[in-house]
Amino acid sequence: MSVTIENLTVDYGGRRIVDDVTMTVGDGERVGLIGSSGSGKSMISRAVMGLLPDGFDVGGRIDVNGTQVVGLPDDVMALLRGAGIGMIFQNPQAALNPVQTVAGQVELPLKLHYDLTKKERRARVLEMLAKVGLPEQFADRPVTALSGGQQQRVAIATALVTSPRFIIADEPTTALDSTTQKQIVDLLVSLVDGLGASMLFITHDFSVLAHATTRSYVLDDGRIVDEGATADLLAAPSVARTRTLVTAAKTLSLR
Amino acid sequence: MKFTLQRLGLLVVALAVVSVLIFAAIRVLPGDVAAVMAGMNASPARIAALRAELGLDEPLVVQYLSWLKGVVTGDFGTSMLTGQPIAAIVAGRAAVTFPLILLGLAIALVLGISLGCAAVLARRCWVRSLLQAIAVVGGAVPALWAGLLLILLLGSGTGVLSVLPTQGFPQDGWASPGRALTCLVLPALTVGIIVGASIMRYTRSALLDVETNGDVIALAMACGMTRRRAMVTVGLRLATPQLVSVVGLTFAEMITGVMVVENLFALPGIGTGLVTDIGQRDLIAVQGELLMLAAFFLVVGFAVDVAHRTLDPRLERAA
Repeated sequence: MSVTIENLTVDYGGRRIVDDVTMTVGDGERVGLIGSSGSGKSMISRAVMGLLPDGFDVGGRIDVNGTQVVGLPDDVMALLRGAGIGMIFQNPQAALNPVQTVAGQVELPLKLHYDLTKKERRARVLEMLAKVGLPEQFADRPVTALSGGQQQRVAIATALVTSPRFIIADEPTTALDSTTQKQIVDLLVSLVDGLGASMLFITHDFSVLAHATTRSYVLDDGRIVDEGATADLLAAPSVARTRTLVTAAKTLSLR
Repeated sequence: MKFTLQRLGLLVVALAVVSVLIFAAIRVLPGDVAAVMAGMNASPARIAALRAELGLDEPLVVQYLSWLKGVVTGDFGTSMLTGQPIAAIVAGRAAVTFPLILLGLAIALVLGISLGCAAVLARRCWVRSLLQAIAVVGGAVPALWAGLLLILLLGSGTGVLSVLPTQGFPQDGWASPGRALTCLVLPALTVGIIVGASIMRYTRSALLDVETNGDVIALAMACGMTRRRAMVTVGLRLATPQLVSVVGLTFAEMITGVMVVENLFALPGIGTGLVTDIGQRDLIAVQGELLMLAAFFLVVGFAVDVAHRTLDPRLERAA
């Protein structure tokens, strides 16, 4: 599935948060979106998903496989969310439903989009949990009883259980330690490639982006200021903002 | 389980402390209890006889233990005015007050939760503002005024629609349930509108709290729910522990809080009864009634604590 964003703007309370952003994610491509905190990265992902609450004014075009989604009613967007597009959030502890079990959380998109029996759903959930490295005995545990890394695996399983064709990973490793970060990125990449899906990987950390993507956009203060192959941006950053982010990533990896 | 047992232990301790405080409060009132109860014109002989009858000439510890022994076996003493057992008097009054607050609470929950959800989910800004204004105004209206307005609108004889009784409760109580229930509709509506406004504000703020603190609603939507569905299912479920606490404590407060409404509609309930007994210096009855009210508050508080803990598994694991 390909996603094309053209001249996207997001305004809130008279302030422009995302300013004239144009970017594409080709079919089967893994694309990065990098920028420091507050640069508007999450606003873009939420605009694509139709998750921005009342008060946010979205302009421009977002084409998801040829369908313009900006301004679509919530009930129409809901048909796309979770089935065609999966999303992984930054902090699984704040995103997973704290009163759900692991299986209850992961089966939610299946319940909402497919007419499966309980037994069929359970089989799909267990299969998905195995893919993210969680054995069957985790299925009936409360999500809050898991570690941060395990919770992010549950979040990945939830996003991918319906085999969506486009995945948005919104800083999926930020809340994790460096060892778990690598495991989660590797897992995500292998699963996305396994599905043949496209992915928009959002982060503020170039060192993570290098593992996850082939092409990247650099966002600063709501505007795209640089773009290119991730390896090139890392090796020879030509724009000042990109250089700052690359230097920060290298400094952190030396520590 | 450990938490429930701990809370149960605390409940028993709190009940014991409250019983001592109530017993002591009645004894430290200015003047002699027997003299107060006998009235201003009573002869010393009458006061002495009353003191002996009530066991007030015994040491305080003996008096307390004797009262406590009675309380444990359900004997709260006898009213000096009517000669009836206090437990039976309170039971009679509770048969008016409890149905009133349960009906009022049911109306409040339906109004409060549905309008609270609507105040969050309404797409148009003016609708959200209007609902918020209703919540604020509804919560600020005095019960007396709301009751009078309802009487003027619906009260039989006086009201525009003249459909519901405005005064009293059947002498035979719930022997004629239809009549008894009709007598409670207007008072329950009065209570329901005021408490409903408060529940509406709590529902709105609890839902917004769930939506803005964390991404649980965003994830439910990302899985394929509409915002409306996510808020009404996931949001309300996560707001439930908070709402249960508020509703539970509101329920406990309503026992005496509906006194104004009971007075307005001439209902022989717990609140009005307590005021009458205080006014008529039936201190033994007041002592028993206060203990029963305190026990009710404490038991509801215990139930709310346990329910909150059960409904929010995060608290269990945080402990």
